[in-house]
Amino acid sequence: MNAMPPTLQRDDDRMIVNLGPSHPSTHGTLRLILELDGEFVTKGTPEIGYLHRGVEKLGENLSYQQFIPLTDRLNYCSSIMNNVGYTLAVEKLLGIQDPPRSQVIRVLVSELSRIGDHLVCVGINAVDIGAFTAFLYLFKERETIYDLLEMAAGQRLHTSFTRIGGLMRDIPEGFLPLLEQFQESLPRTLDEMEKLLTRNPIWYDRTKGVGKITPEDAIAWGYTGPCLRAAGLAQDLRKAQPYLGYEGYEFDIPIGTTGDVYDRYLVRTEEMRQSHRIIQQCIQKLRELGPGPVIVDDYKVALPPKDKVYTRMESLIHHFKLVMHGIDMPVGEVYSATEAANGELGFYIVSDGGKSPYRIHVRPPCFPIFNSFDEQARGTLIADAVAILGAMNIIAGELDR
Amino acid sequence: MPTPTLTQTLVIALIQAILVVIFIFVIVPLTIYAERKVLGHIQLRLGATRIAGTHTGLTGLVNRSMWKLGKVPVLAYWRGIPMLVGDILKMILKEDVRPTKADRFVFFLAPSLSFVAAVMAFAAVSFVPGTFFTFPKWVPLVGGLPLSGGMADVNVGLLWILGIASVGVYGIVLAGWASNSKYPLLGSLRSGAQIVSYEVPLTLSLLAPVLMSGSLQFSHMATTMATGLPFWGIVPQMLGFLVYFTCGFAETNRLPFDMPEAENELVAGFHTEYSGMKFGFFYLGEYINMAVVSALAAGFFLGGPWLLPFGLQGLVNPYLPAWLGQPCALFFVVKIVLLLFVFIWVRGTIPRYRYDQIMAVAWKYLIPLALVNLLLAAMVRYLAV
Amino acid sequence: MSSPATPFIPLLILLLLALAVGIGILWVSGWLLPRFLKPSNPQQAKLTPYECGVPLFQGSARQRYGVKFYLVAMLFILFDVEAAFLLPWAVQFKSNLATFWVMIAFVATLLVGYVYVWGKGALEWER
Repeated sequence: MNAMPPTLQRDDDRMIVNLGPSHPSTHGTLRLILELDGEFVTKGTPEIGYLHRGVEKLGENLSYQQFIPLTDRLNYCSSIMNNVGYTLAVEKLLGIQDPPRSQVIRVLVSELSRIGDHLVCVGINAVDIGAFTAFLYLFKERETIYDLLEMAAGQRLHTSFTRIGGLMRDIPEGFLPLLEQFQESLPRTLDEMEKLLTRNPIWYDRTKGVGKITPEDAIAWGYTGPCLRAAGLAQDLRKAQPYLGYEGYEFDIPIGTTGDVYDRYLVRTEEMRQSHRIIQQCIQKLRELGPGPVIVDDYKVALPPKDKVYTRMESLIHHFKLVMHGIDMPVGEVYSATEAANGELGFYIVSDGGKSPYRIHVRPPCFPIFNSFDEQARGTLIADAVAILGAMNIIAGELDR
Repeated sequence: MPTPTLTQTLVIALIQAILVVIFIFVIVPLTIYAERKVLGHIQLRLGATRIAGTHTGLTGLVNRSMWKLGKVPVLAYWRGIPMLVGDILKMILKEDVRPTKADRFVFFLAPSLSFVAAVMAFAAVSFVPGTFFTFPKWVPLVGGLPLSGGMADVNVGLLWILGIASVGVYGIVLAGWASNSKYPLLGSLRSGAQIVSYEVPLTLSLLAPVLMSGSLQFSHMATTMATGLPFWGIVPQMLGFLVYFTCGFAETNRLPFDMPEAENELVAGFHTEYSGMKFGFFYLGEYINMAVVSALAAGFFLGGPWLLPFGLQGLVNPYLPAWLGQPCALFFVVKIVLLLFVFIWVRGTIPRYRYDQIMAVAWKYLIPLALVNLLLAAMVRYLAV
Repeated sequence: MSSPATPFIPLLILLLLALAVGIGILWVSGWLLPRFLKPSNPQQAKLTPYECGVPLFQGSARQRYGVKFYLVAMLFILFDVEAAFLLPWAVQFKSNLATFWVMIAFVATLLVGYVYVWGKGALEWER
């Protein structure tokens, strides 16, 4: 059996080793073909497509609302941010804005899932480097995050929490008390993790100087998010082009200096603390705002409440029209980007005025980052390649779509 | 004391051998169980709590019938202790897969070698100097004869242990070669180089106790290091102990030196292709080696079978019950267990070194440190007399 | 029954016992049990070497590998011979303190070689 093209067949001393699709360090289904010279990587060829589900093509046959569950499956570690990113794109196309309470809640859950995503990334990176304990410490917090998301959306992983024009529902009672508990315990856990890792000489030796990248190279490769900020550029869409009222929150953008795995780890850790800060402000704002609608009052976009549907003719007709025909979309195209946990998550939507989008394109943050794997890993040891892969935070779901 | 005849010597030796094997087969599953639980509690989880939560298989059948009788299947749940049996049964009963491309004989030889070498290394460890117990008169054939505290407390005991430990490398290297697969090959190459590299500082660090006691016999060394000085061996030999124990981690392929089986890089390292009891032998070998490393550390640096540290033993002996003042195999075992705990503790705390760093630690730090330690010991010795 | 070899008899016995236990367990689990209890269901895919879930693409894994490993082996032999030389010295040191200076000289000579090897970069793990 010969699965490799003949050009990749080597007869010199190099050994070709597969990392994936079924390998302990490829979290998700992706594959790296490493050419090894002894312990050194001379070439690393990323191969993608093992998790390709044709999400974008599917979108062309679904209505705008129906696409939301598919966005859950992009970056499944922080699915709410995909929901938010997609609905923001559609709302931009429609030219509407969701109510203020919905905006605050969207920020709140986005930052929660950003913390969740970073917890996974840092934890998995630690596992790849052999620190299993830190991983489990972090996952304790992640459990609370999922409990919170379950309270809000009814689902732990595939939340589908947003609707076009707002949210599926308001956050339930009991959400804020649990959130405050989480707010208390998260800094403690992060401190514990940092005690285990940040000043640990082995961790430092393993990550410092591994996978360095200059800001110019990072931009040229299309890096965004923590990986770019670790390289030393304070680029964050939440500051650069604020959405959802991010301009009203106080937070800092942590940046690194060398872009190596250690800096990426530090940047992610600090971002979790900043998200923690944002959530604190969200709680404040929610208290100030008081109860209110969480979805727009426009029945051509959002479904009318059920009690009205059952009692009023007009609402019933709206419901029927919206479910059967979908939203009346203007003809046009839009690109809307949000700062997801991994970087810039963009949705490009072309509408021909029909029930379904003419074309949907997703710009996943980890796709361009994964491209640079070969350059990053070349000349390093196998263990470094694994550390680099972990710090890139490749999520196969959004990589292959 | 009568001189034993050849037959009597053989019988006593056989009894001792059986005792050693029993000791190994008791302490290894217990260590594995302890590792599950201790590591679990370090990592905010419970470790093993039950066996067979499923509804299939033999244990599932037992579970289901007990639930049907209205009883909690205590045997399957009791703090995961049935896991001890479950592990062994699983290994023995799992399907043996031998890849078609593997070398048939070497594939079989490697785990056996690994296991036998580990057991043999244990032989020279002496639990208590002198006699362990004397057979009562009524015992046929060997009545009235002593059973010594060490299986084979030979006069080159340390040399034997070091030599046999080197044989263990063959098990790993041959396993990687025999599997005829890339990950095992890379793992075994790493492991071969790593273990060989750490053997040098290991030997050098053990030379200091040899120098201080002037012997290679385990019991003699342990006695001298515990009672010949006003304190335990760890006080003058702190550096030696640290170097030795670090090398011990590397020799047994434990974190932070678990390169050969660094699962996130090489899947499972040299035993990727192994399954069933053949894998079990590597597993057993690793834990026996851990016990051997701990036994040497306990014997030479932590006072061996003596109870109290730092010269206190001599001071308090008159006030202690007689048996506490005597060397006792139990104290030795307790010290071994404590050191095994350290093995597990470190695994739960520290990340893994990279391969080049591992080699650098051995060649650039540990060898000079071990040499310095040896020279210091020699100098103290030279100047003191 | 007392000769210099007597203490080694238990070692021999243990070797035999360990071999018996080892081979016995492997025989029971590898030959005897499959007939009654164990599954034995070899399939072609199961019997190929692990390749992360894709078809095998380099025929044999037994290729040439880095010369670095041989270098480590050679260095090991040098330093292990040194350790082997130090062992009898350490045992006899108590009764013959004058050998201290001899050994200092020996170790110093060795250190010169060690420093040379280090300077040459043989201890660096590079290509």
